[in-house]
Amino acid sequence: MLRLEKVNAFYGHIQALHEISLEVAEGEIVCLIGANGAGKTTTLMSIMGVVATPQGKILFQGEDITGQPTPWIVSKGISCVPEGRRIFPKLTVMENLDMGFYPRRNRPEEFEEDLERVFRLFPILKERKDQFGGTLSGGQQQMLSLARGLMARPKLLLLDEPSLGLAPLLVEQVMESIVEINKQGTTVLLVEQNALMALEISHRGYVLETGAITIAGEAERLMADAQVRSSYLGT
Amino acid sequence: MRGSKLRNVSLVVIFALLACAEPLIASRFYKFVLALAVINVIMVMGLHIIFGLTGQIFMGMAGFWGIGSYILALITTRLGLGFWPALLLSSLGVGLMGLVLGIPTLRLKGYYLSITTIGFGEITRFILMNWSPVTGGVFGVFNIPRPNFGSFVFTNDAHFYYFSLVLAAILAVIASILEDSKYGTAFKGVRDDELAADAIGIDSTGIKVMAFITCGLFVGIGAGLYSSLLTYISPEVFTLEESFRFVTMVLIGGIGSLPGAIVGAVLLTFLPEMLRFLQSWYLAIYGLIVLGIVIYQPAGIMGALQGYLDRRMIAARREGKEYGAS
Repeated sequence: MLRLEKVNAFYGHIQALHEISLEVAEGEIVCLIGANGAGKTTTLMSIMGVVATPQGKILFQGEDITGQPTPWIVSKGISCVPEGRRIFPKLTVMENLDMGFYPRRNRPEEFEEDLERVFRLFPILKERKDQFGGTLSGGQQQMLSLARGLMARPKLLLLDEPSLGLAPLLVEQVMESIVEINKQGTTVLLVEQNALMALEISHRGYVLETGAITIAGEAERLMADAQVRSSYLGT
Repeated sequence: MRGSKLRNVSLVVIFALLACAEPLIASRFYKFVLALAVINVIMVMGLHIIFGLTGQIFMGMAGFWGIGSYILALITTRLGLGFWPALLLSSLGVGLMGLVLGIPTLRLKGYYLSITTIGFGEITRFILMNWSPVTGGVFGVFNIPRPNFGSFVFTNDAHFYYFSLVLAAILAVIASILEDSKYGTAFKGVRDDELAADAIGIDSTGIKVMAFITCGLFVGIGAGLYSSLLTYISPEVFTLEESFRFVTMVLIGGIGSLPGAIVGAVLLTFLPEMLRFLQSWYLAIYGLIVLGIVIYQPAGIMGALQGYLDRRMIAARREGKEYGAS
């Protein structure tokens, strides 16, 4: 579904990504794990066309999307839940969801259906729908960010550190909802520092180190891998 | 009361008060100031869209105002077109300026944008002053006609006032509809977090350019009315100080609130005139009043009202009775 072929990305003169190649097949959850500054977010931002103009090839469903404008990429069916949630604090929960629907605003008849779907997934958002986004708890904001991403009805959902800054119990809840989203037919590319959590729910994983992919494989294999265990799982 | 409901109720109250105010004011001078206030109301609605909703600090209002005023003045006096086509053209002309000025926002953000717009305002003023063959230079433009319906001309100041007030009310309804639309939400989203808006597929540059154009369309109408009210314009009015005054109107009323911006516009049109008796002290006192509001009531007048209503509602809930609509 998504394929990166030898992608390089730069910030000024600094090369952040070195020849990244990865693949996400339809229906999968694939995780990208690695330490701070390894290039995980840059990889996602390159796919979304938000930062820099990446070199190499990024293909989505066979179509070249490298360096295209973000609204166009979203309209093709990729949606991103950015790091740190980045919900709109002074918009209500409903307005935040409206914004997620914005790229599909010419299909208003589908709005209710999509709203139903995210409210079924996150009932708390329905209760809080008239509250300002900024007044939600961290976990609720993460749910809102996920819900906002889903409102674009993506085929592929990119998640950037959804567990960041959440209490362990909430992390579990968010991970469960990601599995549920995937079961409903959305392919997921998950970026995480919380490697154990990420590998537990993923089918496959890639390990990113200083801008290059060092290990790749089935999630179970990675969890058993001695190097991964010592570097990322702390065992 | 929250959000759009509070806004709609406030707008109705404000326009009703403005409609009643005219006969209550005795002095001819203050009747004139009231008409100016309504014209400022129309223009501040434009700034509300770009600054209040979309969060772009636009410091070039005097530029838009000047261009709009001159478009109407020159088209009516030199080309001999009627008031109505001239008003339409001044709105469209300033809207086009919004597009031209909006394009730099492709690259500029925050303070850099405000500095650029300051430059835009100043350049406009110098062009109006020095391009004498077209603009009449420092002498300005005379004999600008008043609006008319067929052979009926609004020479009477009271008629002109109610005419402007009706236009302002129509524009307030349009601004409210825009605010409640998908685009209104997108404006606010770009204000709240531009990067997030980009990441979820909103073309934030396009949204900002659109906000600039809409601002221009509103300001063009107010500016055209301004020329027509005064029947004489000259370039020295359109100063940076005026641009600051418009920004202050939005801040004092409560940033992001349409009725707030309107109340701010009325207040800041009257305040300087009412402080005139202080003579050379007037700017200092005026500055202190503005500073006081910004420090002690940073959410502005509408923010204070919202806070008061929220507190009353909470207090009423504690007492276990329903109070008003939440």
